[in-house]
Amino acid sequence: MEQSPSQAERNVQNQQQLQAGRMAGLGYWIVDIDENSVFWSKEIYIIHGLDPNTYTPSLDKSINFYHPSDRNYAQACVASAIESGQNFEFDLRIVRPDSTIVHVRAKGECEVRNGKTIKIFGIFQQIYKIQSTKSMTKVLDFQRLLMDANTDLVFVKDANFKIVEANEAFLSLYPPEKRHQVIGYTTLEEYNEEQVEIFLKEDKKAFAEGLSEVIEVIDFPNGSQCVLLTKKIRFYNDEGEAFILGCSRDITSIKQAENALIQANGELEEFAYRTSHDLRSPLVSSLGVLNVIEKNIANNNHEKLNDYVQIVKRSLAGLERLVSDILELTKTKNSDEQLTLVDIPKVVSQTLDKFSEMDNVSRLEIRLNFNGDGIINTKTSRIVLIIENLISNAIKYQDLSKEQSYIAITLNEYNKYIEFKVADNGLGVPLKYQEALFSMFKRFHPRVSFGSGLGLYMVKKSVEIIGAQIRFDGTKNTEFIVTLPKK
Amino acid sequence: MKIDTVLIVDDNEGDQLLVRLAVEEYDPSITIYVAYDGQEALDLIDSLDEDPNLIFLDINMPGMNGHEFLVEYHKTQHTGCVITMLTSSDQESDKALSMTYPLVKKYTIKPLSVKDIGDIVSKEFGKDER
Repeated sequence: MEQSPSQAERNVQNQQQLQAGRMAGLGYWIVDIDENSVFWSKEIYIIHGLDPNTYTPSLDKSINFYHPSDRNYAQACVASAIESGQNFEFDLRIVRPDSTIVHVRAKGECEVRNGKTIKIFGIFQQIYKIQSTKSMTKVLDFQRLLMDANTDLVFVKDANFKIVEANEAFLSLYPPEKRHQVIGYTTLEEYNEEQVEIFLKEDKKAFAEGLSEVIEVIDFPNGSQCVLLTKKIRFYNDEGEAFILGCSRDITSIKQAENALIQANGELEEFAYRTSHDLRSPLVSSLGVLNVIEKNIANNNHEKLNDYVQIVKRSLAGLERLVSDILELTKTKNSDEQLTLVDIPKVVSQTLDKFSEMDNVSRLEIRLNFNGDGIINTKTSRIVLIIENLISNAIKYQDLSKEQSYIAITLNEYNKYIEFKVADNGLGVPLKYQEALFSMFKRFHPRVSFGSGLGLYMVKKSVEIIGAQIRFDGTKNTEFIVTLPKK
Repeated sequence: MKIDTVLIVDDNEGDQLLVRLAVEEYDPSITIYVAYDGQEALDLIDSLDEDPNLIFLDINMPGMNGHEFLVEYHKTQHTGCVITMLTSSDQESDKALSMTYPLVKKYTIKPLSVKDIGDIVSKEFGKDER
């Protein structure tokens, strides 16, 4: 049989427990089953966020402090302690009156007399430090997961611009053999000087002002080039050292789309402006000349009527060409044509046949030089447009003052591509206009009146549609070089 | 004052003809020069002993266009001409740009009438003395 301690002994015990409790941040409690009373030490009031002077604890109220999800467990522990003298220990959450949640550890030991629990003694402790280490680890793991799942580049740099943290997306921009030398390094030697200057300027700005934001074009060590929207934010660790957290979003495709839109929009405006002029101009002048013709007929003045009629005819013929080119251009822009095998030498000979009636064709020497079959899987209509335009330009813009004029059409077939060249010794393109050669509505020879000014623009668009390239070489004579990839 | 020479800068034969006829109707004694673009006009002015009194300048031309001509022309010593822009496009931006050049006195939408010629001559060259 147990001896119950005297009141004096109890007081000493209490005193010692209080002291120990305060030292350990530990509270203790007693539940007296018979008296149906609960005693809390001062620490427990504090942990609950309650005032010892105004609050009186009870068993039910104590249990109700537990988080709704934890309450049943606490209730069960206490119940089994009362009914069967079972000691308990648990880590659960309580909800303070101000709704904050506190992690606590409680331990209870039963005093059993005659097989019946009469008192439960317990300790009670806030365990945020222990618990927080656990949850911090969890949080950090989760953060790591977030970082690595993020397709944006995330990195942390210290005050010496060394990378101290980086996510998978960031690391993948380095070749595999260099990835272990990213964290702990500045890696600046991997970038060109100009970019390093921008990095450091923005890093310094973020360290100085707390924030920097910039759109940068970067060549990465793995060879890729990206347009990045980069934001850098300064932060401090517990020791007060400054760091910057960088977040870069790859906006390359957005930028590309934006540029394509700007270009398309510009072209549309140019188109509206130029058509307003180029459609109206021949109409206005034709109407004017027709008025003159009408007046002259009325006055019985037939002297120059035929000349005037010819002027109107030429003007209207030019207008007709412009309108068909505009229609052709619409096709060029919305081409979903299937790929077929195209025989380039055959297209060339058909084109030469088609243009055999043009003015001054007969004085031209046509030099054909085909090295290879020149058969390619591509969009026929585009190839035809390219070849027809280049050849008809060479015919139209021949230099009549030269004794010998020629057009040289060359095809060189290589493993991966076909090179197609049209050269002539015609009027050429003045150096200062060469830059605008492939622009809309550009004509360079005022006295040569054919052409809508859309020809080379359509050629350029067609070349782009079939994934080819075109360049102009005006150094010696006039030469257009089309490079067609074999797919 | 009477004007002696006119230069038409236009690539369109129909427009050249219409301006020529209007000028001839206004005063058949005027000498008319024609250039197909800005560069031809500059070369022509260079080759003349005296600058033309009046230039009718188109804007949209292959080769050197009207705007480019104005830039180049104002760089030369030939400042004796009065320039009338003659264009088929009623574009505010074209007009605003043209009128920034001190020698450009008038901006006319085609077609040019005989009255237009009379107006510009009496305004820029004093009393019409035909």
